[in-house]
Parts: sequence; C-alpha cells; structure tokens
Amino acid sequence: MNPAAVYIIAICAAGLGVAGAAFVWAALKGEFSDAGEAAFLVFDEDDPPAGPEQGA
Amino acid sequence: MSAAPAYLDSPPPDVAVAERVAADQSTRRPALLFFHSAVAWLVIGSVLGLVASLKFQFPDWLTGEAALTFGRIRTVHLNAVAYGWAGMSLVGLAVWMVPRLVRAPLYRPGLAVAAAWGWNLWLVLGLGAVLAGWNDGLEWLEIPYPIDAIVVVAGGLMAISVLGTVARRKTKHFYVSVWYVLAAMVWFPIIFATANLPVFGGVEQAAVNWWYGHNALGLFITPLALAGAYYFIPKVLGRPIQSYSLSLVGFWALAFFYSLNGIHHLIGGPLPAWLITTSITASVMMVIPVAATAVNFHTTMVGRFSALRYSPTLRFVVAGSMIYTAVSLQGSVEALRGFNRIVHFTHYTVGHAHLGVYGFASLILFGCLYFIIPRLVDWEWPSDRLIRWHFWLALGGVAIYVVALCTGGWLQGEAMLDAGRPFMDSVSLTRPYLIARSVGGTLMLAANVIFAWHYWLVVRRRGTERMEPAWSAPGALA
Repeated sequence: MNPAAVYIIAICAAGLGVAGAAFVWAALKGEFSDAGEAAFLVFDEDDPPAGPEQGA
Repeated sequence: MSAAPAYLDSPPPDVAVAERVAADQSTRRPALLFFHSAVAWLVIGSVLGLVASLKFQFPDWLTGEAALTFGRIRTVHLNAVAYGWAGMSLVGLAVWMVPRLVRAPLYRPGLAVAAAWGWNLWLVLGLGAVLAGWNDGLEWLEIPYPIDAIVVVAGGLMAISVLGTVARRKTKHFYVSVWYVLAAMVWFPIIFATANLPVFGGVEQAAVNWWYGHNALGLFITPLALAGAYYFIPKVLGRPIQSYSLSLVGFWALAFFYSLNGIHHLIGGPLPAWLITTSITASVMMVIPVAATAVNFHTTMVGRFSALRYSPTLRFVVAGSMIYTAVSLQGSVEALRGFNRIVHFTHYTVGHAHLGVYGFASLILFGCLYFIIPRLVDWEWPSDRLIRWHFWLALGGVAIYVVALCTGGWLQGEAMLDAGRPFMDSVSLTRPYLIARSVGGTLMLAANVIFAWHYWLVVRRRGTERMEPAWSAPGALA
C-alpha cells in the first residue's frame, strides 16, 4: 500500500473517531432530544426581533 | 453540567442582559485586534492579487526584482487573503460570537490578544520569507515550517481561550454555530500540524498537500463562515432557523465525511485508484450537508426576502450563503473524473477557489462585520452609499472573475486535450478571459478598499453620529 494512503487513512480514521465520540457525547447530553430549544439561543432579551439590526 | 445555574437556557431577562453585556465586554479587545488585522491583510492581499493578475497582460512588468515576480507575489496574495483576511476575521468572529451563545465571558481574553499578535507575527515573518525566496514549495503551505511553529502556539492560545469559555457555559445546549466553531478549533490544528510534518516526500507529499489544501477550506474556513451565517440570518430576521434539527444534520454530515476530501485534486496522478475514488465519493457526499444548509437558509428566508433591501448584514450573508450552495455543488461536479479531466490544470480551478473564498466566505464575513463593528466601537457605519458600492462591486467583481475563468478554463482544457492543436492554442485563447479576470479583480479590490476606508471611519468614530443602523429604513437601498 502506498505510504500516503496509510498516513491519510490513519489521520482520517482518528478524525472519524473524534467526530464519533463527540456525536455520542452530544447524544448522551440530550443535544438532539430537545434541540428546538437551542434555536432560540441567538436571541437576547434586549434584542427584540422588531426590525433588522435593532438591539444589541 | 453540574456548574450550570438552574435557569439553563432561559435566564430571567435582567440576567440575560447582564450576561450578554459581560460577554461583549470580554471580547471587545481581542475581537477588534483580529478584525483590524484582517482588514489590513485584506487590502494587502487584494493589491498583490491584482498585481499577479495584471502580469498576465504585462508579463515584463515588475520582473527586475525576484521578490516581485509572479511566483512570489501570487503566493503572498494567497496566504495574505486565506490566513490573514479570512483566517483572522473568522477567528475574530468566533471570539465575539461564542461568549454570546454560551452566555459566559471570554475565558482569559489576554490569551486571545496574544494569539492575534502571534498570528500577525507568523504572517509577517512567513510572507517575508516567501518574498525572499524561502518557502516550503507546497501550495497553501508555502510558509516555512519552522515559522509555522508561531501560529501553532498562537492557535493553541486561541483554542484555550475559546474552549475554556465553552467549558464555563451557562447554557444547556450548544447552538449550531458553537458546534461549527468547536469543530474548526479541533480540526484545523490537526490538519495543519500533520501537513507541516517534515516527514513526507514525493507522491505522499503531494497527497498530504492537497488533503490539507482542500480541508483548510472545508474544515476551517467553511465551518466558521457557516457559523456566522447560522447566527446572523436568524438574528437579523428575528426568527429562529427554520429547522434546527436539519442544521445539526448538516453539521454532522460535514463532520463525518469532509475530511476524506482533497485527494481528488490528484486525479490522474500516481496514487492508488481507490484512494482517489474514496475522495471523489466523499466530495459528492458533500451534497448532503450542503443541501441541508441551503434548504434551511432558504426556508428561513421565505417571506422575509424584503429584509434584504434594508439590512447590509442580511444582504451580504444571504448572498454568501447562496454562493456557498453554488460553489459546493460546483466542487462536487469538479471532482468527477469526466469533468476533472477537462478542467484539471486550467484557470477553471482558480475561478472555483475565488468563488469559495471570496464569493462565499468573504461576503458572509463582510455581513458579519457590518453587524459586529458598530457594537464593538459604539458607532454606526456612517455611509449607506459606501455599503451599497461595496456590495455591488464585490458581487459584480467576483461574478465577472468566476464566469471568465470558468469559461476560459473549460476552453483551455478542451484545447489541451485536443492532440491536433498546438499547445500554444490553449494559452493564447485564454487572453480575453484573463483580461476579464483583471477587470473582476479590479472591482473586488475597489470593493475591499471602500470597505477598508469605511471600516477606518467607523472605528475612528468619524462622520455624523447616527441614531439608526445603516439602511434601517425600508427601501433605503435603491
């Protein structure tokens, strides 16, 4: 096997492992169970949705 | 998270305001330093880009000094805009955005400030070395690897600050933008450090080089730019993203599949066919996160497109998001062997790269800065007219540039594949398209200079004090 393939596949596999671990962690923390709640995190109490670029 | 207060994602109003104010105060200095630096690199990089383009029309221009020849000028252009403008402004965006989204002050802002200075030092030394003729000879990795150690340290300080902030979050959930920022903060050090290891040679060096080059865009610039779009489209519209779950599908699809991209740049090269095919497959699979993102942005905008008439932030961010869809689908097609056979080694690739870094990432960044800067300096953008000129010159410039190079590049590729035609045909036929490239580049440079001038005015608090945000009146945009 070409050494380049070994390097790249190994690094990608490690990355896949990191992504997989993060995914499992997120699932166990309930990130996907009530995800709609997170959609409102962009809004602040003094940041009314009355018009574009109003508020902080 | 045991340390989180009881209210989690729904604090009382006075607490929410206090947290947001504290978050903004903690990010002001490092974010401004990153943005000031980014705008300076944007102007420097754009000037050098136009100089490089004009050399196609005037090949004997600026050839007396080795530092001013095409190979070095073009290289410094790429690094200045990719790492200086895009890199620093995206990190500045992350620094400003994450504390707001996790409702916690930036952890050790001094580390972020040190990171910004380190990043600038890396670029000054690195690009100076390139101009002097010392480089690693690898595209996107030209800065000599001993100098790269500086940005590794700077990136580490930055990661400590951002990850430390997230660790002290007062929210139960991560907003999708935080997911993208966290991912970029993990991915980029891995690919950058790996690609700079001085252990590769020959074909394997080329494979690692293009794996890095493509993923610098896909695992660093793309996630941070999308983080900005996911923040500002709902923020300006005053309505949440249409499907939050779909946004997570887009993120995780990118997280799982993007890193296998890049080797398709070496189609036809002396690499195992399965390795290249894997990369082509991954590239086509990118249709999934791209479609998820595009559908989500579009359905969030439906019924609200009139807001584009009076919000510079929304106008730039939505334009950049639409171009993200276009450039991603173009990239997936470009990775297919039949298509790649024609456009490989042509100007088409240069057009595609500019559509990604300028049309997609830079337009989104401009939009983000139109929102953020007034809040950091407590002064509104003084001129609606300059914003309008900026938008149309940037959009028109990149459109001319990309259409010209993709058309010329396709014809160039067909000419090179035609054994009955002399090679010089493939060179001479591109002349009008290269002139159009310089025209488009001139417009983009003009847009960038206007933006930089306007940026200077607002951070210096010049012009008439405005009580309303620029373009806040419906119909202000002609």
